[in-house]
Amino acid sequence: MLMWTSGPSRLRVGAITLGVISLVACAALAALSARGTPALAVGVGVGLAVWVGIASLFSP
Amino acid sequence: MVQTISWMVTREEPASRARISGVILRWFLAGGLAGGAVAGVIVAGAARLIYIVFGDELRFLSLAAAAVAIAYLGRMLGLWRVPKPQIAQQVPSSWRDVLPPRVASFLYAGTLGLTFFTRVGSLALFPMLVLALGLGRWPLAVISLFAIAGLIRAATALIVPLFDWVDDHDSLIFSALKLPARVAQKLEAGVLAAVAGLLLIAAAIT
Repeated sequence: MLMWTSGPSRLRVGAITLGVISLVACAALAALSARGTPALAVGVGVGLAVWVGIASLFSP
Repeated sequence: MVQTISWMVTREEPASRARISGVILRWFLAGGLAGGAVAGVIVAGAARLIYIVFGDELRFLSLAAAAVAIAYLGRMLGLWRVPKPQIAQQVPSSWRDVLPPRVASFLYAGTLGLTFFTRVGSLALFPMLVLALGLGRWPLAVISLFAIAGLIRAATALIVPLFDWVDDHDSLIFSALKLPARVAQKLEAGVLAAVAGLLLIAAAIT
C-alpha cells in the first residue's frame, strides 16, 4: 500500500534533511546566478530550471 | 525515474538498508549536481562563443526562447507538430549491478543531470536552453541554472524514502504518480505560457 506510514523512520528523517540541504544549495545557486545579471531573464531561467528538475519526477 | 533509486536501496539487506540508503541518496544528489554543472559548462561554452562572435544577444535569444515556449505549448495543446529532439535512452540498468552502490548512484544521477543525454522529461528544457544561450556574458549564471536543474532532478528521488516506498513494487510507485503526472502535464502548459509571456516582457525591457 502506498501511503505515508506513521512515525519518523531514520530513513525519512535523513531524506528530509537532504531535502533541506538541497533547497539551501539551490537557493545559493540561484543567488549566484542573479549576481549582476538581468533579473527578469535569469529569474525566468531559475524558474525553468526548477520546473525541469521537478518534472522529471513524472517521466518514465 | 524514481523507481530506480528504490531498486538500488531495496537490493540491500534490511539490516544495513537505512545506513546504505543514506549513502546512496547523498551520492545521488552529488551526482545530479555535478552532472547539471557539467551540462551547464557545455552550454555556457556555447553561449560564451555566441557572445564573443555576435555580442550581447540576450534580447534576440529571449524572443527566440519565448517563440520556442509558444511552439511547445501549441504542441501540448495539439495545435501543431514540433519535434522533440532527445536521446531517448535510459541510463543502463546494468550499472546498478556492476558498480558499487555509491559509484552507481553518483554516475546514474550524474547522467540524468547531464540533461541532454537521456530522455527529456520536460518540454520546458528547450526554452531554457535557448535562453541560456543568450546569457553568454554571465557563464556562471548558465552553469548555476543547469546545476539547479540537475540537483532538483536528483532530489526528486527523495520522495521514495519520504513516503516509505522503499519496500514497494515499481508498478505501485508508478500508479501512485499517475494522477500527479496528469496534473503536472497541465502545469507544464501553464509554465510554458508564463515563460513565453515573461520572456516577451524581458525582451521588451532589455
